[in-house]
Amino acid sequence: MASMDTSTARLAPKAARAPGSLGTGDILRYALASIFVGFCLFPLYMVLSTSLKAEADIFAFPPAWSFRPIWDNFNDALFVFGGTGVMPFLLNSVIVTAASTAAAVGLGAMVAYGLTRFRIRGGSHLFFFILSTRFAPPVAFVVPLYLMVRQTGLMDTHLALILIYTSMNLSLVVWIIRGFFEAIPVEIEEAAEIDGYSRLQIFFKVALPLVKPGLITTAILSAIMSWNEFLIATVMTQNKAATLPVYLGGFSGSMGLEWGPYMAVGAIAVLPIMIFTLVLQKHLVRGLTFGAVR
Amino acid sequence: MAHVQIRNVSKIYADGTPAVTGLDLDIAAGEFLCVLGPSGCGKSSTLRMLAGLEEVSTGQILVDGDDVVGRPARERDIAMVFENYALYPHLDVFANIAMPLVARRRPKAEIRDRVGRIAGTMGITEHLAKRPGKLSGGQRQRVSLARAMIRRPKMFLMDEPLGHLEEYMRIELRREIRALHEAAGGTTFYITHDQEEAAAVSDRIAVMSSGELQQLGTMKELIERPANRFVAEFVGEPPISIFEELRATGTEVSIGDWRLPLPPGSRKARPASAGVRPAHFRIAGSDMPGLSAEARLVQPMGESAAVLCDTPAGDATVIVPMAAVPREGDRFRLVAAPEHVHFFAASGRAIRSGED
Amino acid sequence: MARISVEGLSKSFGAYRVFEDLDLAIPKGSYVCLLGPSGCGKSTLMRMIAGLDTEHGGHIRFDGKPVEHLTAAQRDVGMAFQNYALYPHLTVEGNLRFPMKAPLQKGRWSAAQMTERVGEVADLLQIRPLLGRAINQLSGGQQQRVSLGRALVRHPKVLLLDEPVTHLDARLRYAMRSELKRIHKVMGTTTVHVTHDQGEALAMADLLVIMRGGRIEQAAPAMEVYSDPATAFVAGFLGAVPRTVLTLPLSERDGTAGLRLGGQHVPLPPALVAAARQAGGGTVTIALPASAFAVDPDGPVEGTVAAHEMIEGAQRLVLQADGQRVNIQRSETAPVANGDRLRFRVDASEGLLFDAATGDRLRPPLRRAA
Repeated sequence: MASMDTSTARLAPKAARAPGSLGTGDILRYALASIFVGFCLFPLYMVLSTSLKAEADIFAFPPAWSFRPIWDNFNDALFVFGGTGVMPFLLNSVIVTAASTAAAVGLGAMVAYGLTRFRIRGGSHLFFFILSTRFAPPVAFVVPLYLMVRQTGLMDTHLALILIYTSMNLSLVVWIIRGFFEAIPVEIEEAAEIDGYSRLQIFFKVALPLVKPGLITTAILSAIMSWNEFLIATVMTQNKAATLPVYLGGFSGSMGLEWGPYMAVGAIAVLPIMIFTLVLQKHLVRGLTFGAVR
Repeated sequence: MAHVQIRNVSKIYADGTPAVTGLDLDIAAGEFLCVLGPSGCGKSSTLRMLAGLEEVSTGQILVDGDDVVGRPARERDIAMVFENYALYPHLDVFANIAMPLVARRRPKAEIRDRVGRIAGTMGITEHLAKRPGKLSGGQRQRVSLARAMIRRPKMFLMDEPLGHLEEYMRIELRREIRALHEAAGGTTFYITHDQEEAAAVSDRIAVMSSGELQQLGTMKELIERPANRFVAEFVGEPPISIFEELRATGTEVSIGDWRLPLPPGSRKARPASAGVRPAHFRIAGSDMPGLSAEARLVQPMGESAAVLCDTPAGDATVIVPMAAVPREGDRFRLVAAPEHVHFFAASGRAIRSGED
Repeated sequence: MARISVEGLSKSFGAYRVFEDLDLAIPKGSYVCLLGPSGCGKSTLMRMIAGLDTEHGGHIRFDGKPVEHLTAAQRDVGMAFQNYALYPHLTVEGNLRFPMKAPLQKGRWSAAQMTERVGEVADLLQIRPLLGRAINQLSGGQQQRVSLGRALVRHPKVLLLDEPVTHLDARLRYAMRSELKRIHKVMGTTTVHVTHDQGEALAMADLLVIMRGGRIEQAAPAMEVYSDPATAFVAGFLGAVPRTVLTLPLSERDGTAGLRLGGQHVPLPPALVAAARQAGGGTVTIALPASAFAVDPDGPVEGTVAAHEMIEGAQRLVLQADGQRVNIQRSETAPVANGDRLRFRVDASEGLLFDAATGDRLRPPLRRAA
């Protein structure tokens, strides 16, 4: 709010209400919000509840709200489903997600730092160009990417997905982290310069620790994207390097799908990324307050 | 112009931190009241409660007898000036100043006329077509003041308006603020941490610390009759010299090797510390009764100098005319008239003669 | 400890020339204050001495040796920043150790020496109980001390302080001033202190450098700058009640020379007349202390009150007379309002004369005019 110039409008003063008590309007607003939240969370509920249901309960209509949970579906998902179970694909997903996230955040932080702190000819154009790689829908890039991957003999390898995901996430990382670097007062780095540190050391010892919240935010976003990406993974991998979404996708068209184990795989797919996010989020909340500078 | 009464107002934040505790302030219609205090003393919270930007936890704020607690800012008829100017960066100076009138749907001709007039008063006519980004700090604050002054609100609230400016600009603008206050006849509530500024612009000064009002009075009263040790220490430049260790014997009290009659008020509360303002100390020969001292650091101030001394009772500062400045290492005695020695009880309250 | 010489220094940012051909000699172990309004170049000069800005013309020497080609770290300077610029992710102790752990210092400090030195500095600045604290748990004054400690910890050749006490409240500011002088006495490090607070500069500087518009107006011991200003700008800049600086035409009446103010003749003392005549006459600039003016109902000159305020029990008035502003201080206070017309007296005997065009001091010729 800028000017606090206030009107002399003769509106009746609102009756002061004790904090904590709710009016009718509030109740209506909360009700609407709750319905919307329910709408958003319902698919997740479906996945989790179905994965715990016996076949009879799954197809019961109307759906059973209360049922006896069973773990058979998870057993199937882990060891039986699709012939191999989920494990190889889970492992592929972890490898591809971890490597591409680390690469995107690491490289992105360096690019962002360079763009913030060095005067680069055409730096702002470059910055814009970096984001422009995300302007077209990914499907437009599938054919050229496919040809590149095939020519380089990287079909069905982790490396292919790692390289592609890294390049896709990089632009997002650069855009977000640049804002964090810009918030660091330049004097902190000058102080380190006077103290006798080189640019690279300043980057690692001073700048990076200060943008930790940015690193965490972008790591979460990148990981979620890599974890769930389907289109490119399904084109670039067949079996050896196939990730969870590819594995899951393979069943969706088939007849007589076993919904129980299928949903159990879905639940397993949600879990690692959720844990990853929760663990990192703790550090995010703690974040750094820039108490060093007035 | 409004008569503003703050009655037993407290502000406690959601996390339980008290910002303001039991504040009583009566601001006369047309008065210029300065609030002086260290950061975190509650002065900004008080201003924000007056503005309606912050809820009052308990207590009343009466404007011309009306309780305005719970009323939103836009209904309180106030104008505010911020330390960081808070100008609209996307609008030119003219549009910035005109905003309060535009918001009230005044006719275009009237707006042009009033903006032109206030811009003339503030000396910013040639900048009317510029964006705030093109102006210096001093010019921006002039624009911000013009925007506040374009109406005649009941109250002006100013939160460190000169905090970001350089000394010479602060002196120039504080004079203009005072002149504008007199011309507009508004009631002004002004926050600063600069005591010279407070003395220069205000009619009265309220000193606050840890959410409580410490003393309300003119600068002269704060200097000569501080209500407690906090006020004595916070107000006055160079700061008062405080002596922590006193020895009271019968009717006398000693500050180091300096013996003084006990203040008459000390029958109720024993003095725990004493203070003397640097301007009230005089240098006397070593054979005179007083506090023995050795000059440690001479800090010239122009016509005079502040001399920091080591004494048996701790550090003391004395102001000496430049012509009579001692050399560092010189020994002498410091003396002050009894009425210029302030005694404080252990609670910090001032012990005064005639207050038994 | 180092002697610093700045020779023919020039610097521009694009088309904007900060300064050209600047010379300054800072003696070894001295406490120098760079004082001037914003944009005068004081901060830029300090950054160049620090080596944070190395693109410039001319030379900077430490003890006679050029340092232009050295990085900030190689110059061995310590710097305390205006916004403290502490490392927020380290503790107080971590901040103090950081300069000693720099790669350039490799092998110079053993772990035990580092601990000892941190302890020494913490004692000097009285921050030992804070060593384990995070930076955001410190008050402004405490952060100030830590930033000073970090600048001092390595025994730098030169200590650079950028507005080190500006953000503190009055009591802490005075305490820090004497603290800085004490530390300077103990350490003996050549210190450059940038400030825009003239009271602070006057109180602290051995050598006071007044800058304006990229020019050094005067560089001399503090009290000399105050009592014997070299330019009209300096004359009107220093002091609790700065001198009134007026540019007035010379006039002659009844055989005595003087100046014309508000249609009245203000006689000049003979020495000043000689100085004014030597400069060619016409108009001159005169700087007069507040004591030169007195409100007097029978005074010859009339002015309009442009501002009035009460400071330290005295009333300060700014009167507009003849298109110029006159600063008057009086101890007896009478209610005035802006726009009131007051008469006053002028006594030019304490005046200092300056060239109206250049602002340079006009001194009486050595042989006094009779």
